[in-house]
Amino acid sequence: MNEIIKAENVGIKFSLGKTGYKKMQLTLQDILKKGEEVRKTETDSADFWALRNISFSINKGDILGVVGSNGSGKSTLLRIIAGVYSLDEGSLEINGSISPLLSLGTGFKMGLSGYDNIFLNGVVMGFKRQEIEAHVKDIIEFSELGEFIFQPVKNYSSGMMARLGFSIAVFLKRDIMLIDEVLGVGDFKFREKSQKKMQEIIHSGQTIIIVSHNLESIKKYANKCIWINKGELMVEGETEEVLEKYTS
Amino acid sequence: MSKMREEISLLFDRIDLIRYFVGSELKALYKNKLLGFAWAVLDPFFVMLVYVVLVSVIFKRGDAQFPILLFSSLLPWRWFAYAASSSVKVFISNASLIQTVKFPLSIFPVNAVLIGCFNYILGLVVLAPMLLFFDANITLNVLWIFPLILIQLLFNFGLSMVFSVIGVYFNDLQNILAFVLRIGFYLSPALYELSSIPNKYQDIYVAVNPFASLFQTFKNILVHGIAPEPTTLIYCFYAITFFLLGVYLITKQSKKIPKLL
Repeated sequence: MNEIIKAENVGIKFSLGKTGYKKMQLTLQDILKKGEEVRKTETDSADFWALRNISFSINKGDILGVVGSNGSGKSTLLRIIAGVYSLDEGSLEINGSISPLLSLGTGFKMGLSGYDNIFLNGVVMGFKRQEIEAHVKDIIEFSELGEFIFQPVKNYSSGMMARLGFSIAVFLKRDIMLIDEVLGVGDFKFREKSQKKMQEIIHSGQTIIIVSHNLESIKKYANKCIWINKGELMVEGETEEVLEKYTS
Repeated sequence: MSKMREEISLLFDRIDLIRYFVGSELKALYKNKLLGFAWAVLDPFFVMLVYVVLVSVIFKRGDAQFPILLFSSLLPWRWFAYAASSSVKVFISNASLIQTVKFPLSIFPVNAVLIGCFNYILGLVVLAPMLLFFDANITLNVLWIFPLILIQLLFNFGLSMVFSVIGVYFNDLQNILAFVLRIGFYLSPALYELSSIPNKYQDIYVAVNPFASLFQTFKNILVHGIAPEPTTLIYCFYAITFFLLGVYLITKQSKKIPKLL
């Protein structure tokens, strides 16, 4: 089995409160008053580790579910994998390209038509024009938007927007798909269809990382699971066993 | 230095994205309006009209060529002002995108600069017939406009990067900049001529305010039909300095910015 993602002791911190000029004010005052040493300890104490000592690995074709309560750092983990946040600790090895699933509406330009937004969204995710053109028919068909595809997105209902977003994501994908809480969009019929599509993608050997509070869907799709609590890795292992510990 | 070069080359790698960003922004700006892209032309024209009424009609100042003298410096100013004022909030308004996909961050100030550039060039298209109408001395020196556009690109891009980075740390900059830009315009020789500055202050004025030499150059090549004076090099110097400073800041801060949004 070839490892596609290998995370070792990944840690990321945010500085709380004292950013920008507040911090500068503080440091200026501190330097004048107490000297360099105090400044260091003071700013360090304000650091908040959103994730620390997270280690896991995924092989090609794995579906990794990430569970945890609100604010435990799940989305932060996805952002690290997407390359948005850089690590403060540890190492992260990724052998493949990544397609982040833009959360609903992110990157859509409201004044533009759905059709234009497919291209915009695709290019944002790093696809070439030709690649998008090759899929644009499928995307429109799957989204069931019909004539509406040429209407400005601002006239869409939230369900329509979600359908378009989902359709773009399932057709424009890279080696590793990142999904954050957007399974099951639209009405009942579309949800069934999208779940079927997800199954299809999973069977095609796609590597996926899913963050969700919906344990049912994690159970259904993921073969591996990690549970993160307050930025720390609680359990890593088979989905069943992790979920059992998580829910107990 | 190598990181700075990397940022720029990453920018070129994503030229597709820049094209789409700029294109869609422009579409969104003008598409749903009755007059569409004509606004890109009418906007600066109306601003000029207001100033012409103010200066020529109300204050009875400015000579016959005042409208074109003003317009030829108003256009580069508007480009700069647009780029600067949109860059200052560009990371904050694109926060959700920046936190989902990895970008070379300089892509956002680049967009602002290019949209401004588009409007600028349309403005020049309006300026051309006006130059004829107001009897400008049109010579081959007009062609200097092309290298000048490139230098302005560098200047605006550089300062836009600087503002975009500072804008993340100081939210107040948005408000401050609006005033600074307004005052900056009056402090630059657009509504008046460089020669109306007292002689002994002229040198220092031109050295300190990059727009003094820029506006003078534009008036020279477009209206007076003479080649740029050596003072243009002052603007070039500022352009290169700001560009390097901008790229330096953005590469230095690019790891921190996504976390701060």
